[in-house]
Amino acid sequence: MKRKKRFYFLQIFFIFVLMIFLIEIISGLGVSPAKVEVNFKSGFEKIISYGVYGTDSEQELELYVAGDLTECVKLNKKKLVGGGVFTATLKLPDYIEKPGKHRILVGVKEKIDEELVGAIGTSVTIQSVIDIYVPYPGKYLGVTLKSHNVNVGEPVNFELEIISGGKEDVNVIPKIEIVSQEKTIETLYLSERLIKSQESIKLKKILDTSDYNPGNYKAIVIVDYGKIAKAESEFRIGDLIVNMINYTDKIIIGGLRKFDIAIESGWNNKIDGAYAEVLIFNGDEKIADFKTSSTILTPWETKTIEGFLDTTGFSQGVYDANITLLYYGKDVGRSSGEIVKVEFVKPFNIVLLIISVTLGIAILMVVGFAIKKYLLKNGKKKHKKGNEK
Amino acid sequence: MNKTNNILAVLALLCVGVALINLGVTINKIGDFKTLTGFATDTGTANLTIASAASVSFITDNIDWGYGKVDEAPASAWMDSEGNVVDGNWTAVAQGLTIRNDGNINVTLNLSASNDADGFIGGTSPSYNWKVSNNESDACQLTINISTDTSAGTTHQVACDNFGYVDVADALDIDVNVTVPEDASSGAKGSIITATATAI
Repeated sequence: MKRKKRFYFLQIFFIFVLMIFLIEIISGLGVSPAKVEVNFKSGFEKIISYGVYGTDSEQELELYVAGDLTECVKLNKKKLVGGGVFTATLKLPDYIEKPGKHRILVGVKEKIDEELVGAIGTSVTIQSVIDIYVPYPGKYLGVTLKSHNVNVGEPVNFELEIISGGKEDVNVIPKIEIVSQEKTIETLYLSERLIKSQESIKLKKILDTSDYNPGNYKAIVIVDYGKIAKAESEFRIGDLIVNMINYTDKIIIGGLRKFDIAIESGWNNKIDGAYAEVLIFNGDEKIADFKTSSTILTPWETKTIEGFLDTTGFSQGVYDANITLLYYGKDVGRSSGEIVKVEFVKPFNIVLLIISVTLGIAILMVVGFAIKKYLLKNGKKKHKKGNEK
Repeated sequence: MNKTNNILAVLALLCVGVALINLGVTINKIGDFKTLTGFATDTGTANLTIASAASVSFITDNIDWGYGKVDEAPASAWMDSEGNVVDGNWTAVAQGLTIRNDGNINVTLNLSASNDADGFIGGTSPSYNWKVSNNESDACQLTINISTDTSAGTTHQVACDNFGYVDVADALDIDVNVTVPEDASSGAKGSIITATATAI
């Protein structure tokens, strides 16, 4: 029986030790709630309780209020040690002249020990917000739109929020225009809805991208309520494609030279490998070839891959380079090629430059000296003529 | 023997009879329940509210090049948090700071330092720069504002206007580089980089 107990104790002890090793030692800070939204009402009062967590148990934390309407918030504490709870008492005035959103910041700041020196350290400040919405006279709508990148055939889930910030209710029929290269290519209509004064509504709409080409698109939500409320969001529709966006177009002749190719992923997934094969031609004759390093590309990432080219035997001039990009992702491989011009130039000759500059200065001095002599001679002649008269 | 067999046979028949009645009743009850499991005729509601939380952590919270000095020539050394030390003998550091949005709300991220290049390093023409990049793709959902080397200082600089919290896209890197002139005073040098996260 005693043995069994000892065994359980050991088990618990080992689990405890394991847990300690699994805890990630990080410096951080968290505040909840992060956001409180209040529709303005004359003399409105509210007590907000905040929880502070995630910090070192001995860390001193300073509490403060900043931003708009700071005089309306009173904190019950000025500092905390190692987290805890505090309250903010919000007391709104009878009248706020400026309509719209007023943002109050309730901050929790890690106190820095200024006397500690050495290295670059870090500290964190978190600012929770209290947004006070003062209604506009009449009807007023605010609108936001969210979208996300996809690949061809995947749906784009638009999320829009319509906020009625006016004193009157509003009837709306929102629509989303899909724009490509400044042209509206599709319009999505949403159902008619009534949004009451100082209320908001969150809506969803799905775009089917099966018939879309890969590229960059813009979604514009338009809500007509006598006035127009608008919001935009950009999204990309991708495909397994890697584009070359730049390359080394000038190479100095002499030994092994680096050749850079900047590439950009046009896919909304990871590309597991991308590299380039480069063939250099003098007319129809291939005179050099090399491969670049291979790289992984995260969605839409731009990277530079590099290869090395032996320029021995090259003479000055412009050559054709056939650059083929090879890439694969999700077990599908593709390639794309392009013929570009690359200029090979002779290395810069410093001796020739010094001689040219020296010669130039000498010529200038001779010309200057000649002009001076000519002017002096002319001046003397005029002086003589003047004296004779 | 025969008598015992008869009793057993009667008992067996009785058992079969009881089992059949039981089966009938069970099937009848199943009909009442309509489905086999988890069916309740009453309804209930479960409510829960998830509180919003703004939280950021430095996963890597220190850059320390250790002890070192400027080489005899040229007049200053340069080092960064990407593994480079030029014209000095400090220990190369190949890991910058990494900050993660641990909350459940997007935030704007500002950076400020406890001192500028003069206060941190001193001497003639020191430099103290930082730059921010996505550690995880699209962690900053808008363009990163400090994407190239920018002088660090005590004034708040917006690093990212929309720093996301979704697990696969919630970490940003902050790389630092410094120029140490040869006439900078000796001794330990330190600077604190403060990340201010404001809920949006």
